[in-house]
Amino acid sequence: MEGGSIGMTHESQARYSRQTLFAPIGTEGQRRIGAARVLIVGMGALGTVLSSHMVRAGVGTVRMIDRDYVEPSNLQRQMLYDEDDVARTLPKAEAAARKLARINSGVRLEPIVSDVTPLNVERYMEEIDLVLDGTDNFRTRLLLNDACFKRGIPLVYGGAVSAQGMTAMLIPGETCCLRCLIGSGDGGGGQTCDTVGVIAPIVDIVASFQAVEALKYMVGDVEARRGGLLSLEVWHYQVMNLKLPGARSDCPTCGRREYPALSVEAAEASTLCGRDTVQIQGARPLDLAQWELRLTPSCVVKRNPFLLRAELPEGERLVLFPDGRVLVQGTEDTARARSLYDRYVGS
Amino acid sequence: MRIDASVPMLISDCTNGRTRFPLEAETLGEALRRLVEMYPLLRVHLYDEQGGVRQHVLLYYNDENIAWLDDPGRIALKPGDKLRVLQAVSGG
Repeated sequence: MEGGSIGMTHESQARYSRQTLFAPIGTEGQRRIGAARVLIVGMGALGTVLSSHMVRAGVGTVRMIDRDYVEPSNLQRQMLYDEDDVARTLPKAEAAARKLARINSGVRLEPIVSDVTPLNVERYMEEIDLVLDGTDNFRTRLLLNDACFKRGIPLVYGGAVSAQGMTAMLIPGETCCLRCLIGSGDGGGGQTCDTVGVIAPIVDIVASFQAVEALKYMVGDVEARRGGLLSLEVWHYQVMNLKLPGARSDCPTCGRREYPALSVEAAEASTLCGRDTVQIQGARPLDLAQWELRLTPSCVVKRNPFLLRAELPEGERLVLFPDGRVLVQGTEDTARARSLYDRYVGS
Repeated sequence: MRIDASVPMLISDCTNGRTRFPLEAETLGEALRRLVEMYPLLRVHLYDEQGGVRQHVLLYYNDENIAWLDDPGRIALKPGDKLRVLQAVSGG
C-alpha cells in the first residue's frame, strides 16, 4: 500500500481523532488506512455496510462494483439506500457513491455499474490491496477467489442469509482459499436471501467483522488477526470460530494454481439467484437514448442516465445498461429470456 | 459418550426444530452415523447420492473440518466434544 490521498491535515486529525486514539491504529495506522485501496464487489446489504465502514474510516480509494439497481425489497437492510433511489431506479453503485461522497469527500470513490465476469475481474483488481466480498452468490465468489489467489490479493469472504452468517479472511500463501471450503459447485442449496429471507442485523454483523479484519490488515497488525472461519447464528445465538488450514495441495486454486473460474468462457446468459431474472451480456454497448426511441412504440419505457427499463407487452420487463448488459425480469427460463432479448434487442 | 451436536436453523425442520441436541457415540464415525439415524431427513441435506458430503456443507469436529482430518471415523470421542453441521452461506 503506497501513496495515499488522505494526509493528516488539521481537518483529518479531527475527523479521525477517535480512531487514532485507538492505540492499535494510531496516527501511523491512520496514514496506512488513508493509503489503502479497497475493492468491494456487490453493493447490497453487505456491500453498503462495508463501504460505509471503509469510507468513514478514511480508506484512500474505495472501488465498488454492482450490476443491479435499487429496488423496494432492498430498503429493509441495504443501509445506504432510500425511497428516492428506488423511485429513480438508480444503480446501486451510483446511489451508494452519492451517499458516501457526502459522508467523506476525502475518499476517492470509484463506482462501477457492471457484472463481474472472468473477462473483467482482473482488470477491476488492478492497483487494489484488498478485496471485500459483498456478493450474493457462490459463482461470483469463486471468481473473486481465483482472481485474488492468482494475483496475491487477500479476500475477505462474508455471507449472510436468514439469521446466520460466515466470514473468513483468505490470504494467498497463508490460508486455504474459499474453494477449499465450499467446493467448486454453484448454488447454495436453494438458500438465498430471496428464498429463505434474511434479517438486517446479521448482515451488519458479518460485514462489520469483515471490516474489522480489513482494518487490521491495512494497519499491518498481523498479531491481532482473528484467523479462522467465523460462523454465527444470531437468532438462537451460536458463535464458532473454526480452524482454517493453509493451502491444500489438492485444491485447483490455492494448491495447483489453475484458477478454474478464470479459464471458463464468460457465460452468455445466467440466471440470477432466486430473482426471477436472466441476465444476458450483449457484445455491443447500448445507446439508451436510441433504445428509448426504438422501444417506446411497443413498450412502456422509463430511462435515466444509467439504465432503461421497458415493460414488455408479454408481461416481462427488460432492463438495458450502457455496457451492453440486459436483464430479462419475470422469467427464469433462459430460452424464454433469450427469445425476448432477440425479439426486442437483437443478438 | 455424550457429545453436543448442532445443525443450522435452516435445516432444523429435519431435527424436530432443534438446533442443538446431545448425541451418544464412542467414535466420530459412529456419531456421524447416529446423527442421520436419529434424524433421517438430514441425510439428503448432508450427503449426495454417492454418499459424499454435499458441496457447501461443512462438518466440523470441535473446530476441525472433518474433511481434512486423517481417518476421522476412528477418532475416539471425549465428553463435551462437539459435532457441528454448517452450511456455507451465500447470501449478501
